[in-house]
Amino acid sequence: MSSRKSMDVTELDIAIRNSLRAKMYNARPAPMVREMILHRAAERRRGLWFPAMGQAKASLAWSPAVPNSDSQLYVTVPSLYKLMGFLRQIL
Amino acid sequence: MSQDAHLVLKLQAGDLEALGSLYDLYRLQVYRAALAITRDPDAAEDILQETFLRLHQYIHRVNTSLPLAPWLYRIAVNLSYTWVTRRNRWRAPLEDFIDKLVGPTRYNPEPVAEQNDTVRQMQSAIDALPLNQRVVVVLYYMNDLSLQEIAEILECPVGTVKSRLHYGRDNLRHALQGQAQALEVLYEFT
Repeated sequence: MSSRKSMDVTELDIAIRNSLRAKMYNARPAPMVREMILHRAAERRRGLWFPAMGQAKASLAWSPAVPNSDSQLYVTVPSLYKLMGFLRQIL
Repeated sequence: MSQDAHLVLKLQAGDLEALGSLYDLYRLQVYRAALAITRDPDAAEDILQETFLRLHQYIHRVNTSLPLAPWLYRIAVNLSYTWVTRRNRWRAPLEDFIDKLVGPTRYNPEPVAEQNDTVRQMQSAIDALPLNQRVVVVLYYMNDLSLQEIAEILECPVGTVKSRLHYGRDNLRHALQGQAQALEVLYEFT
């Protein structure tokens, strides 16, 4: 503990660097992120809009569950993408 | 011609595989910077994705005579700033409200004793830094960027970066000293 109390700038620098690297050593994105990027880039090139992953999650959260009758609006994420792409093309 | 420039030119010509190759080259650096700033793996993945989509969107503006990494960091850091600011706007009032309802968390010596480890203490101290300081500390120590590069990424003077780094270091030193003293007090009572 006493060494930490008298930590000089060099020691502190090493401690900061080591702790950040230790924390991030195993941190890596999910493999699907690459696929999503390439898929969305391809969609964008074709003129279709594709919401960000976070937005897609959010839209999943508020979209209704399986409808129990035909009269209910059934919103799915793919259908939202198609709708947004269509709106973007005509606006 | 650098590998970056070669891939950027391919992407400018419409080759999407070049985007995949650039992603493979820079994904870890961008993701880890976003994760260290936001402290949220889902947000870091969203930011990573958005950064490379912006690269695709604005690829014709990318100057192939300059390195690509600072361009990517600028986008990722700006997105991280926006994410943290938006989250704090909603989360802080909610946490205050919960604190008022249930009372502040009581001091529990056990988790402190378990965290008798410099690395862990430093990590929590970095997480507790103000956002401006945390961003500079992450870019400087984790991504190994120079003060000049950080200043260009953050679009601020080098002096500002130096000052944020200085205060960030000071805060970390004080946080570690505080934790060490807390542990000493704890050991005196046990």
